[in-house]
Amino acid sequence: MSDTKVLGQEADSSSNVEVDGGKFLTFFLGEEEYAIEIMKVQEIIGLMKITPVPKMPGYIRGVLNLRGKIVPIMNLRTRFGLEEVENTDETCIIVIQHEGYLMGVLVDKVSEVVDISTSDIEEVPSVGAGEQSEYLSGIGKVDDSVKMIVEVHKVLFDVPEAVLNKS
Amino acid sequence: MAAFGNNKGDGAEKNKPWTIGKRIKILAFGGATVVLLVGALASYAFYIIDGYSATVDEVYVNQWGTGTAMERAVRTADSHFRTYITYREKEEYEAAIERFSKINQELSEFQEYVKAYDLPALKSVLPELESGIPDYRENIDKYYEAAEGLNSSDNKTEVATSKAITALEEYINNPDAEYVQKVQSVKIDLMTNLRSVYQRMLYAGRTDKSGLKDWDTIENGYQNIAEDVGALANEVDQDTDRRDQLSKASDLINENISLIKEIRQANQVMMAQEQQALKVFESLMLDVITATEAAEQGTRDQVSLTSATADQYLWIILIVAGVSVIGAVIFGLFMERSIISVLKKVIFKLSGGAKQVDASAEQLSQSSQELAESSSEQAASLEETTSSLEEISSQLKQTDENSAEAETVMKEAKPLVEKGVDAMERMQGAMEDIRESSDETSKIINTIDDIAFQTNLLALNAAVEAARAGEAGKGFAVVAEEVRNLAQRSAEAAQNTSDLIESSQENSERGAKVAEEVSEYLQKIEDKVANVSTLVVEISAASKEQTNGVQEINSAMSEMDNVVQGNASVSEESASSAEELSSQAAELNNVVDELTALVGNVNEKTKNGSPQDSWTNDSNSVNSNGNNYNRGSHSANSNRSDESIKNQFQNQEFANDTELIPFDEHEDDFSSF
Repeated sequence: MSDTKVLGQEADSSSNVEVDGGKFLTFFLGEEEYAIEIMKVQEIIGLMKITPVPKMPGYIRGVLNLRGKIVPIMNLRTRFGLEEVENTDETCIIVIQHEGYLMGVLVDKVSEVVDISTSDIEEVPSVGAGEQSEYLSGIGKVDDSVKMIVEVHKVLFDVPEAVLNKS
Repeated sequence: MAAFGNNKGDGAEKNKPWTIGKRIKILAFGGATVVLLVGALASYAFYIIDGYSATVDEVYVNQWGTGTAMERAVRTADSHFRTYITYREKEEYEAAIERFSKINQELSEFQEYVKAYDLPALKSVLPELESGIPDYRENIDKYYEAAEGLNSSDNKTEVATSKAITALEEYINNPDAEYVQKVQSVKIDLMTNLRSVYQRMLYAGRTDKSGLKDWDTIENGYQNIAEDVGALANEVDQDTDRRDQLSKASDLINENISLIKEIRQANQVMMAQEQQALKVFESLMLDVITATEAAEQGTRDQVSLTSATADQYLWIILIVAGVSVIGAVIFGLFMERSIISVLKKVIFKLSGGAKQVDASAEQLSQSSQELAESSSEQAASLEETTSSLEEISSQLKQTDENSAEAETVMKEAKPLVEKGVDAMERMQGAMEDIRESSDETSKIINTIDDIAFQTNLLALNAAVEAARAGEAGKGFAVVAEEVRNLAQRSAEAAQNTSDLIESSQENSERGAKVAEEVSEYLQKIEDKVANVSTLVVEISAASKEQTNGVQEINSAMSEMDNVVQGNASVSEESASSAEELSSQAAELNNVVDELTALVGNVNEKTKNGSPQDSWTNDSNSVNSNGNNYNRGSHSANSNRSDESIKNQFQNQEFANDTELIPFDEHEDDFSSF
């Protein structure tokens, strides 16, 4: 990959990319590594007892009590249309805070905190359906790996009011 | 014969052949039927003849008898009557009259016959008989009356003449009488006349009157005397007494003359009556004879009828008998031929059987010889077997010792194996302990791993917090990063340890498994050792039993020796049986000869089979074989040859049976008859 092309792309995409560079918390869903802006992460907790709530969308596992606060838990695999897997020792819940709402996200494994510069963030290629591109705000490049940056608002909080009201 | 014809002609009837008994029965029944037929015919003829003879017996013989009796009675009556005519004795008359009761009795019998039976000849003559008999009797009576009248007249004449003579004698006796001479001559004349009357009367019934004075002379004599007396009376009329005497005599003589006339007349009547009676008698006799002859004729007719009937039936019976005899002869000839043909076949088969028996006897003797040879071979084999048995016996003793040794060794091996099993069990316990401690270690490693995970999370949270803190948190972020690295390293170390422990666990489990396998093998070895020891014990027992068995075999060998000797005697017996068999075959042959003699000529078929000719030679050969065998045989046994002979016999018997049974197969032979 030549610098000019990268620069060209960067110039083209700079206007379209919605996220700025900075620190990201990365996690795995299966083999794929995703990234979330670290400023939106409240905390990381191990797997706790999730209480199922009736009349919730399929991707909402239920709710849990986090030190007195009721937090809805989203199964990100379901949300992304991936197949469900059993919980493991490494399954974690990342609690996201956005515009005053809290949302727990069930992920297979928490990876690390990485720095991704803005220049390393690229636009999501609009090859697939539009919805998928809506869930990603960009694709970060760290060394040789690719980290898909989750569009937090669209993925986590573009949900029915009833779900958000739980928090 | 008709039945046979059906049998011969109809093919379907062939399944039911005529047995000899049936044929003879048919012959007997046919004969009986013919005899019955002839007998019935004869009986019928006799019945008819009996009817004729009964008629003769009941009617004609009786009629004849009656007629003959009547004839005799009439003749007797006639004879008495004639006697009476001659002698005029009353008894004869009564006897003649007495016969009439008999005659009337016979007449009434005739009347009964006429009433009871159809007798035209008798019937026509019967009225004449009925009128003739009383007529005849009446005539006899009339004659009797006439004769009696004659007698009385005669008596009167005699009395009168006697009185006249008395009167003349009185006159003569008177001493004063004259002409005594003349009176005397008159008296003599008178007496002569009286004698003539006597004679005449005596022969009054006679037809031949020659030598007799007829009534005229007598009457004239009396008249001459009466004239003489009258003349004398006239001359002597001086004395009244004397004259009275003479006149009295004269009167008496005159009375005599009238009496003589009376006699004469009576005599004539009598003579006429006699003629009448004789005529009536003759006609009656004729009638009686006619009746008798009618009976005789009837009898003759019946007899000739009987004879004709007898002739007729005799002819019929002769013809029937002749036909029957011819038929019987023909049927008998046919029967003889059919029975003989069957018997000939039987003879032929018997001859064949005798030959086969003979051949079998020869075979039996050969077999006996073979039996003898095989017996000697067996005896040799028995000796070899006995020596082999001795060797086996010594080997068995060795085996017995070895097995006892093996038994003791096995007993020593058993506790060693048990010890090995015990050690293996203990090793398994140790393995189990290692596994348990590994599990404990594994738990500890898990705990460490968990702590590392939590630490990682804490480090991440710390990094998040540090990021939030911005520039102020940069140092903290580095610390958090370091902590996170430590956590990751401890997690890796825990992972490594865990892997090691897992491998050691696997090894220990593998060791446990191996120990188990070893234990199982040891267990199996233990079992096998036990098995081997039981086997060794069994081998020991078996070798003992074998020893016993060898002894039994020894005794069996001696028994076999006996059996072989017994076989020898049996082969001798079978040789003698063969001889007997051959003699029985000869007997059979004799029977065949007898049967042949009984049947007569045996046809060519039997001769061609030549069982008789070949027989004698065969029997000789059998005998010689038997003798040979007796010399050579001591022990033999050959069931196979016996059985083969038996089978051969059975087959032959069977074949003979099947040949003998279907009598009808040769029915066609009869058809040519």
